[in-house]
This record gives sequence, C-alpha cells and structure tokens, in this order.
Amino acid sequence: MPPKVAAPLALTFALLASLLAGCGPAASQTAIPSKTSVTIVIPEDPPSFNPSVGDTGYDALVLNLVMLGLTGIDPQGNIYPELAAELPTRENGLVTVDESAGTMSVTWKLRTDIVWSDGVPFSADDVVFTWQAITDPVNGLWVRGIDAVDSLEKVDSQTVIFHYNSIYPSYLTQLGGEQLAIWPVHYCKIEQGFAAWDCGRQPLSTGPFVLKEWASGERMIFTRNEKYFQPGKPAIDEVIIKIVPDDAVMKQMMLKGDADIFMWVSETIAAEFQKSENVKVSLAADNRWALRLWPNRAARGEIDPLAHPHPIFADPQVRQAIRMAIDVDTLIQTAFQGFSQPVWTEFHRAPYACDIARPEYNPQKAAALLEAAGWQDSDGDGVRECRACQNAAPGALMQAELATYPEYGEPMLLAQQLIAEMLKKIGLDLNLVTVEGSLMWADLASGGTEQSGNYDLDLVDDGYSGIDPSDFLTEIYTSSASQPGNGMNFVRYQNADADALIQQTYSLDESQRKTAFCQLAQLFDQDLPNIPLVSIINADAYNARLENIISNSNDVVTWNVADWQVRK
Amino acid sequence: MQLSIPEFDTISSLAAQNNIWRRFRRHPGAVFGALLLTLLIAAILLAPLSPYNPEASSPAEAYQAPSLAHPMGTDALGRDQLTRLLYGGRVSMTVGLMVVIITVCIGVTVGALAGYFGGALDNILMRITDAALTLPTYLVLILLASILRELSTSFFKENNLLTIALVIGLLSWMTSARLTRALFLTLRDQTYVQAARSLGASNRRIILTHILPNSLGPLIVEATLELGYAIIEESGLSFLGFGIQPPTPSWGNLLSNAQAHFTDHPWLAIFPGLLIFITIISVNYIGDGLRDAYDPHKVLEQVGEVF
Repeated sequence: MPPKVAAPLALTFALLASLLAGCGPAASQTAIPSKTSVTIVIPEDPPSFNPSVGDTGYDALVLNLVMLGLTGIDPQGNIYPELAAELPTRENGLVTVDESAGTMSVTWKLRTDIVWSDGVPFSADDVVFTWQAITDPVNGLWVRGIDAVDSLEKVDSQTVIFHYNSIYPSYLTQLGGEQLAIWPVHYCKIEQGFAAWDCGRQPLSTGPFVLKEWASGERMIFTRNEKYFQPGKPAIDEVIIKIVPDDAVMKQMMLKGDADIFMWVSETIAAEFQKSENVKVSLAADNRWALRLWPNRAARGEIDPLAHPHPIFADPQVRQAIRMAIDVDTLIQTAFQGFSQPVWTEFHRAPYACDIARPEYNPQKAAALLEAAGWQDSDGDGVRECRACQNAAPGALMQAELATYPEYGEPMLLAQQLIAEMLKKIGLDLNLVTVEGSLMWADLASGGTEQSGNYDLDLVDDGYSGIDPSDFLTEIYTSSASQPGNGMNFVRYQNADADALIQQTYSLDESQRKTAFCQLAQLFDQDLPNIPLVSIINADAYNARLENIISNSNDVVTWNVADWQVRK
Repeated sequence: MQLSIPEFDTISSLAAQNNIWRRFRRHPGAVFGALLLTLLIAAILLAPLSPYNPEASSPAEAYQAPSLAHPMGTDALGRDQLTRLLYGGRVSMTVGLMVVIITVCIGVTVGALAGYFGGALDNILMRITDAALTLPTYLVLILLASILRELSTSFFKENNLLTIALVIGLLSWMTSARLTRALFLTLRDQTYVQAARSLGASNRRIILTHILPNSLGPLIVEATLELGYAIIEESGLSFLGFGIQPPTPSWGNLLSNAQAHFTDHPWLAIFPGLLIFITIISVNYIGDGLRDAYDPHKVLEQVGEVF
C-alpha cells in the first residue's frame, strides 16, 4: 500500500477505534464525577449584596451565600452565633447592665477560625469598621438600634464591646440576622460609603461560597469557598442564580427541572407545585407576615388626626365594625388557598404570644355598630350616610378607597375584592385601587401615599424579623413615628399609654417585657390602629432532588445554604 | 377634466351614496364582521338578563370548568365568567367608542387645520403630531393614567372609564390627524372648493361643508380601526393594572387575572382572548368593507355601471 493511502487510512481507523472506545463501558468507569450545582431563579438582579440598602430580599439571598453576620436567626426564631464564638447574655457575663444609669454593655467574642476568601484573617477590626461605615455621618445609613449605641471598643483582635446609652433588648441581631453582615476592613473603602461601596457588588467572602461571575440581568455564579470555616461544607459545588423576570416562566422552569429553587412562591403557585412530584414546597414554621387593614385616622393628605380626623376611619366604632364584618375564614380559603391562618393581634408569635380572644365574625352586629356610630342608610341604596357620626359632615356618604399593592399578585387582589364585598354588605362602599409598592412606601418627598397620608384604607402585609418586636412597635405604633419620615406609623395612631408601654419593652427583664407586650395587645385590640386579618405564607419551592431546604420567615431561603445537599 | 368633476360630485351625492351600502353588502368579510359584531353587541346589551351578578362572589363555586350552568366556567371567586365577559364587553366597547370620539375630534381638527391652511400652522401642527408619534405609547399611557389618578380632583377618580379613554385617546389621534391632513391637502385645490371659495364661502364653511364630507370615507375606515386599537390598548392597560380595576370586569382585566391560570384553568384566558379577537377581526373586516365601499375607483366603476 502506498504511503499516501496508508497514512489517511490508519488515521481513520484510529479515529474510529477511539470513537468506539468512547461508546463502550470503559468510558463510564473512568467518568469524572460531575459537580453538584443548584440553580435559583429570581425575577430581578439584587441591587447589591447589602440588604440594608435595597431590602428587596434578593440582596439578602445572595448575601447569605458569601457573608456572615455576628448571628443568624433560624426558622423557629432562635438566634445562633455565626461569626461570634458565643451569644452574649447576662448569664455568661458578656452583658452588663448599669441599672442606675439605664445603660448596658455587650461583649462579643469572635471566632478565631474565620478567614476571608483572600486569606486575610477575620478580626475585631472588621466589626469596628462595619459599625463605623454604617454610622458614618456622611455616607452611613440608619439601621435599627443605631441610636442606642454610644460607642464600640476593640479589646483585642477577637473581642469587641458595644456600649449602649440605653437598654436595647435586640442587641443580639444588631450586626447579624437577616440584613446585616460584617464587611472586610482591608477590602471595602469607607470613603465610598456603606450604601454604595464597590465591595457591595464584588464582595469578599466569609460564607460558604464566593462570587465567581455576575452578568447583570442574566445570572450570578457562586463557587465553593475553600476557606469556609465549617469542615466539609458546603456540600454543593456551585450555586447559579438566574434572573428570570416572569413568574410563569420561573414556574415552568421548576416543573421541568431547569431550576431548583423558587424563592417566595405565591399561594397560587405553591398550590400548583404541591401537585407536582418534582417540586416540593417548604412553608416557614413561623408566621411573620400578617395581612392587615390600615385605616387612616387622619383625613386624606393630612398628618394630624386630632385637627383633621378621617371622616370615616377615625371613629373606633367604625374600625371595630369593619373587623367584625370580615369573614376571615372565607378570605383564607378563597383568596389564600388555605395556606394562611387567622391573625387578630400583633402578638401572635412566640415567645411573646398573648391570649387575646379571637373577634367574632358578625355582620349584623357590625351593622348595628355603624348605626350606633351615626352612619345610617336612610335612602336604602346600600351605602350609609352620616347622620350623627363623629367626624363627617351630615349626609356624607360612607365611601372610601381601599388600596393594595399589585406586586403580591392574585391572592392579594382577590382578598381586596372579597373585603370590599363584605364591607359593602354593611353599607361601606369601597373603591378599589392598586398602588405600586414603590409609590406606596416611598418617602414623603417622593410622594409616598402612606407617608403623605394620601389614602383611606390600605390592605398590606407587615411583620417583624426575628423574635423581638420592640423596634417594630416603635416604628409602627409610637406617636413620634406618626410624623412623616420618623417611622411607619402612617395611620397616625397616637396614644400616650401605648408609647409608655412600648418604652417599657426596652428592658432585659423578660417578665416585664411580656407583661408590657400583652398590655399593648389589649390596648391595640380596643383601639385597632390596624386590623390584622390573616397570616401570609412564607414559602419557597425546591426541586425534590435537594435536601435541607427550609423556608425561614426570619431570613430568606439561603440562610442555611451551607447545609443544602443534593440527594444521591 | 373640468366636466368630469361635477359629474362625480353629482353621482357621489345621489347614486354613489345609495350604492355604498350595496357595495358594502357585496364584501363578504365585511358582512361577516358586521354580523359577528352585531351578535356580540346584542349579547352585551342583554347582559342584565344573566341570572348571575357579575361582581358577587360565590366561593363554593370557584374555578368551575365550563358547564351548562356556567358555559364559560367560573373565576377564582366563583363568579360566572360569561356574565363577567358580557359586562366586561360593555366596558371595553364603551372605552373603545369614547376613544374613537376623542381621536376623531382631535385628529380631524388638527389634520383639517394643518391641511387646509398649510404654511407655518401646518408645520407647527405636524411637528407636534410627529413628536406625539415618537412617544413610547405604553410608558406614556401608564404615566398619564397614574397622573390622572393621583390628581387631587375627584373627577378622574369617579370617572374611571372616561379617564382611561382620555389617556388612550390622547395618544391615538396622530394617525387620524395625518390622514385628515393628507385628504385636505388633496381636496383643498379641487375645482369645487375653488368654486366655493370664489363665491365667497368662508374657510369654516369650506372645511365643514365641502372638504370634510368628501373625506369621510377614509376617516370612517380609520375610526373603525381605531375602535379595535382602543380595545386592545385598554386590555393592555388593564393587563398592566392601570386600566379598569376589579371587581368591575373588562376584557383586559379578565385576561390579566387569567395570567396565572393558563395551564390549570385555561378557560379563564381563552374566552376573554377569544372575544377580543372576534371584536378586532370583525371591526377590521368592517373597516375593509367600508374602505372598498368608499373607494373612489369603485365609485367610478359604479358610475360606469349606472351610465
């Protein structure tokens, strides 16, 4: 055979042989084990890795992958140490109280086995730096409890003391929990500002993963942090976050196995996933969020409820009637697909649950209450008019606007329609509107409808992270927070007794706190600053091949990402 | 040439006008569209005969598939979908008609002034029209809807239908304006217009009694098409949450609410989509028929037939 023919022929045989070998069993014996990868779908890019700036939830989602705080909160509300070596308490001597001055100090002992992903050891300098960045007068940010801290003192490389100017019971989650992490002093530039620094988009890591790639609007890729302090963790090699702006597409991706985690699924989608074999739904153990009606006590656009009371909702009898006329069980079954629970008090969560009797559903009694409040339907058109009511002009119709935000989706809009229908039956005519969340919760300067008081009755869910309600109560119910910009008391609830009781909850005496919380519960049950209706699910869907995915209403689903596993 | 124009005018005012309906009837698509639309409007007008209240919930009957009791099924709150579609049709059709009126009023006025007077006025009005055409429709629709809703005056809040129609109409008049201008530019130099002018007719009289009636054909076609666009745009606005708000049904918000149920309760999406489709296709066919009926060439053909 001439060499010109033999050479190509030999090459062809060699290629064929290698191809055939590739098809045989030998190939599977030498296969390299594939890496384990989990894909999370979210509708939009996180603004940064700093949830205390954007608070979209997606920033908290990615923060948990790479950053740790001093503490975390589990689904039951238990606080556990992350970067801290132990939780400071009065019992272990790390919390000291000066009773006479009404001040306290908290000593944080830090773990000694933490290093940043670039190899630099984590230390007390990082904690002090983070606090300095937050409290920077020019580029800092207000966070809960910030005003209670006088100063920070670095004792040694692994010890920091917080000095408080008052008693601050939520000290355990002050630099941890859902929103705050410790940032690296050697990497972040304080002059860029805590809310805008570059390390907020390209962070180092003390967490289980490191950011490998962020293609804005498309995906984020995280790989295992080889320097993570927990041996053998994380069990997953790679986490991919895909940006998919449409719920329906995300749902299909889950059903087809193209995505593994769908954070914060709605009741409608959760019900659908529960019928699937491939997708499981984790429901948070604790009902953090409660859907409520927020009746404005001041007239629309006004701030002072005494000088300008709302013609309808300033009257407590009207608020009581509204609560009595709403069939919460129907709301749960019809609008929320049976996922919700009835809620009638702010204090429905452990460990500060209070024994308040569930209000009765009684439209006839509700109608009688409105009659007694001076609202009568004289012309029989189904809408009451003011005859001898407290705050409206005689003849004024009992008509108002019921607003909610469309982002929650269908269940909220159905609830809005059902509530309007129920209240129509007692003669309160509600015009339904939806207001984008970004406008509803915007600040006064930006025309936020709640801060400016430009609403009658809002239907919105709310609740507090963690287990300590004190800061939440201050923001929602104190008289000082009823001034625009000072908090979220946009219903303009002003009650000196409530202010005093909330102040009493700033104590380390658990017995005193519980008493104050339950007195508040009774007060709110009478005053109805807002009308709690039902709990809102905190649910995350995940592919059935995954294990240890546990929804957490005190954080987001990635709170325990280091423990996630792929079933063999 | 000078002879043919009076003949055309005579024919258009006598035989041609009488024959428009005959020519329309000869257009099978237009007849089909008119029949469908008539049936639909009749059904919509008869909506109050439905035994169901379009806004009253009946949770026990939620998500029922189409049946004899509920031919188009029920929605998440157990409301009869057929009843809501019929009432929703009233809303969508009303918005559509209001938009047509607004569009024709603004568009014809702007186009007539620009086309008849020409010069600087034409330039100014057409640049305004061009600028309006460059606006991103849905973004401006959403912005306008938000602004009108947030205005302190309660007029817009209490007249939601008018607000939606106004918002859509304010962004839809430009095509009518350009069409009218083109027609006026063509007709203003016609002999019969010059004759009227030489006899001392005022501009107003010339516009209203000589040029406008002769422009009606294309304008009617444009108006029918605009009705279809308006229904689609109202559907789009409602779909985005800026249109008609529940519990008042409109075809748009019914379709929007069905978004999450395409797979599990498909009838919630199919029927409103189908009705919007039928309406648009009917109106388009009618528009085609009217265009052919008013087509001058067809008129001249008709003249040939007559003589």
